[in-house]
Amino acid sequence: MKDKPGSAWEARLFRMWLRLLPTRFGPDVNANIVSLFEDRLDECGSRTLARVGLLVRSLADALWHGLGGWLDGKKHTKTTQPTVNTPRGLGVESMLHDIRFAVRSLRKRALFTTIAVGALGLGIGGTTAMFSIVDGVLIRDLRYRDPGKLVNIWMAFPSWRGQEESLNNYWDAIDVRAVDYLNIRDHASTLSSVAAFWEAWGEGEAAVTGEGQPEALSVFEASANLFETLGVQPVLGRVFFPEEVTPEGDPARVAILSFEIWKRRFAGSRDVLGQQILLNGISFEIVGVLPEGFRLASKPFEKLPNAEAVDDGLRDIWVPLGITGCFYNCAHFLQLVGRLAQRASVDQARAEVQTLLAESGFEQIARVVPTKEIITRGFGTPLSLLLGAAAVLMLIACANVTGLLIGEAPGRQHELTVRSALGASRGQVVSLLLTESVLLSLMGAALGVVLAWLGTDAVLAIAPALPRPEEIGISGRILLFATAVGIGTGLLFGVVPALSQTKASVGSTLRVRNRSGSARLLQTTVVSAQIGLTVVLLVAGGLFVRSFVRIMSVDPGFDPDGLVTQRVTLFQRISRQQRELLVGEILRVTRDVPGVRAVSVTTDLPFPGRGTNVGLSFQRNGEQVGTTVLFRATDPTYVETMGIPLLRGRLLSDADEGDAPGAMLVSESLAERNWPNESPLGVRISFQGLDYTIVGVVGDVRQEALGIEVQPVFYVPVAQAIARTHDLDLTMVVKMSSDPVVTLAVVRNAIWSVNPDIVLHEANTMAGLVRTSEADERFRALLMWTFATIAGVLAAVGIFGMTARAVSARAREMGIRSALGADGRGLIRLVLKDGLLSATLGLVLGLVVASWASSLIAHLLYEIEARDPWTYLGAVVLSITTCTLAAYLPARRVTKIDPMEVLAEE
Amino acid sequence: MNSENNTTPETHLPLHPLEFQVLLRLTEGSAHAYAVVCSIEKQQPEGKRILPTNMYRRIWRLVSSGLVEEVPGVDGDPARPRKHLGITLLGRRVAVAEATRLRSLLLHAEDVGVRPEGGARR
Repeated sequence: MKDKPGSAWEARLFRMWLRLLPTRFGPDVNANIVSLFEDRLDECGSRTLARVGLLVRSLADALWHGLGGWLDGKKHTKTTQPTVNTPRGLGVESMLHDIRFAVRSLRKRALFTTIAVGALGLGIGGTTAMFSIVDGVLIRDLRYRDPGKLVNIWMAFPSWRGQEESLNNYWDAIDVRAVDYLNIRDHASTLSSVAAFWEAWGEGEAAVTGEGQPEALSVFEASANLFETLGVQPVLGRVFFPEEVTPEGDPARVAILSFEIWKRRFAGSRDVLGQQILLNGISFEIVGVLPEGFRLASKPFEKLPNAEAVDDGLRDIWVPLGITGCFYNCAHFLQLVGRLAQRASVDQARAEVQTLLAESGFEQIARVVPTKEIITRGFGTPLSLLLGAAAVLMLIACANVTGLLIGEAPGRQHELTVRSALGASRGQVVSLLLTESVLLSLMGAALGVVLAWLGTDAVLAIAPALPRPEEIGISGRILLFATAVGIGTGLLFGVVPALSQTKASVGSTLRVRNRSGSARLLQTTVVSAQIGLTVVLLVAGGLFVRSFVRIMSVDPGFDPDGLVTQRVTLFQRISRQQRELLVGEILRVTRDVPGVRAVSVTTDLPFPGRGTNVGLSFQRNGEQVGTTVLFRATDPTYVETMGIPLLRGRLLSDADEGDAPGAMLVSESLAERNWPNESPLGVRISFQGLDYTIVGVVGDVRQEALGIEVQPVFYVPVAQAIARTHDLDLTMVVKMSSDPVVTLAVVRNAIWSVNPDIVLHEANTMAGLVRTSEADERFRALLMWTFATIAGVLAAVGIFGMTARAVSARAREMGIRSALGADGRGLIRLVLKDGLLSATLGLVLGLVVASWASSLIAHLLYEIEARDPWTYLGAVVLSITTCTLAAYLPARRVTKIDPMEVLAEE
Repeated sequence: MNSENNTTPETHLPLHPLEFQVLLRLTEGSAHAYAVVCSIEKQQPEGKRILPTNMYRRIWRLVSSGLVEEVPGVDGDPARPRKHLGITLLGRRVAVAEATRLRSLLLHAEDVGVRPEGGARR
């Protein structure tokens, strides 16, 4: 049945389809079927729809009647008995019969079924759990209108680092000035709309008072077109009117609530519209409520570990954006989100925004990045990698079950031979065996879904704060995935043993012996494949674990032992004097608490590395030089409390507070970057219009995470910094010598005794914060190592089973050898040979694949080579030990074979 | 076909409707599958089409049961093989037996008051 050159494509496709299907008809009849199809096709003429319709129906018809006929059994084609009169005349009936038989057969072999379903459940469960996470985080669309068109816009200074590097790191991404926003909004033709927002009011914390308990909330200021740009409609009320948002001047006092706040504080009442809400003492009229689960994609550095990303949206209130005074063209504070115009690409938008930014005279790099990419940034590769590892685990489970099925073959030979003798065609027997394996894997899939359901929560518990956690879960899609995987794996592991068993079923004794040799070869191959894949997982797991250990041994630059952090906020307008007194009093009462060794305050802490990058300028070689550095305002004892080493000069002291001449500490990297080979001490620096003198150089501190390089930072006295603010928002660092939980409770009571309105939140141990910052690495290492361990166990079971079967199969031979005087060790060696051959083959194969695969994960490793010899050696030793042990345990049984018994059986 | 000698027409009953229709068409004279299909479709409601694999599954069964056989035929297009089919003696007997069976079934239906719409009364 060759393709004819003149055939229509529909006919060629139909012919190919028939060739693929195991129909009952031979090539001759198939040619006639195609010919009839072509006749029918001619009837359709050039009407494409009719032709395609005929093709689709004919393909389905061929599947139903052709395959149905095949399942009926070929024997009917040779008899005169009409198929309609036979009990197994219809394909569906035949299939039901096979299913009933398979259920009975599997029930009889309970141990085999349990092991196989367990292995498959682990494989499918792991894959399904990982897929549900990947699906929720990476695949599903964002809950905005036409989300593929949304982009986030921010900028970076090329002078900070190389351009490409900036794209991959958080800290040098900076917000956009209002003047630039308006320029982009009004002139960018590649963006149909551009909206702006920012987390307003002192690091995004505002107190809501009035009805109910006072609580800290995030208040965002937004441009009028934000919700329209995102394509989000309020569930209640309206969004902002353009006249409520003023580019300059005070905006209207109206507010839009998040769904969660509306439900929690207003019990979901529809009367909320028109009510007033007090935010930091200012009254706002509620005009709308956003849909449930509304989250805003921030720029990447808002998604740092510890950044309370989980709480995003749950505490959000939106008010109109007001751009006033210096904010208009000085401050970089706005985050932009835009919608691409029709037919505009991200690259075009980036180029255009770049041009518009250049007009403002700064040498800035424009960043225009698809919103989804930002949300899932940094998660794509690691999650896909773990999904890949789970898939490898599933392949191992498949290989394991294949091995089990091959091992079962000799035991079932008799049954299959009887079936053939009773007239079952090979097709029928293969179909029966395949039904069995698909049934097995569907049971595995069912177990897998249960494990995935439990496992997803467990995985999420150890996972870093993943974006879009609300999308993760076992849904219809996931069940469909598990079912498809189940059927696919059933066919995958079932087809080889089914074909090999049915070949042997009609063989003569001699042929059976030959086939048992080929079955052994097959089994060796399958076990080798399992070990090979296990080695790949072991190497990957080993590399991640070593990388994690390496990263955890990085010195953070301070001593987190016994340090507890506590954010202290007072949402009240107070005078500078009151504030200084308040801070002094808080420090004093805390210091007096038993168990407190030292206490300090700072504007921001490392881990999560929040803080503001600010511009500094100073004279160098007679020239005015500017640089951008992370800024911390601290009390004089902060550096000591944190355990940051003083390298040169002196620390800040009480004498530097208040109106004293400005004193500043700089970090080592800042000193080296700006004053290489000279002392920075005494250098005068201008910051926010004030002059400071560098009085000391302190050690560098990791800011975001242990694995992220140190950032230059400078410290100024907190009294000078907070003199400019209206409220109080500081973080306390308390060095404790006793149980932090008990001591912290006493500390909190002491602070409330000073002022009961102070909000105390974000209490953490510093060690915990450091640990959390490495959640990504811990997650990868733990999960990969878990996969590798399960894989190792499955592979060990595979080798154990293979050797055990070899012992039983060769009992007679061993008995005779033993009778002829062979010693136990020699016999064990003989039986071990097969298992260890498989192990060695698998090991070599696994190392080759692992060396390729590890180059894929090289960029996720910290100071560990992708081909780290110790990891490879470890994987080899572990594999050899496991394999030897797994093969040795059953092999010992050969020494217990009684030659007399074996010979008597003969 | 040997089977003709070994079986009685009744062992082949009931026939699948399509198989019966094929036999009826072939009673008029031998034809290739496409001609059979066209002829059957003419008697069927509009839009109900017989698809190739289904057709050949029925033909295949009729051939293997000895009711239909391949006969030499002339066809214009050598690139498109068309098997010419003819009805066997057993096939004719089976067709008659099926017609008889259906007729007695129809009579029974009328006896119990189920009559085809617009059909003749006994």
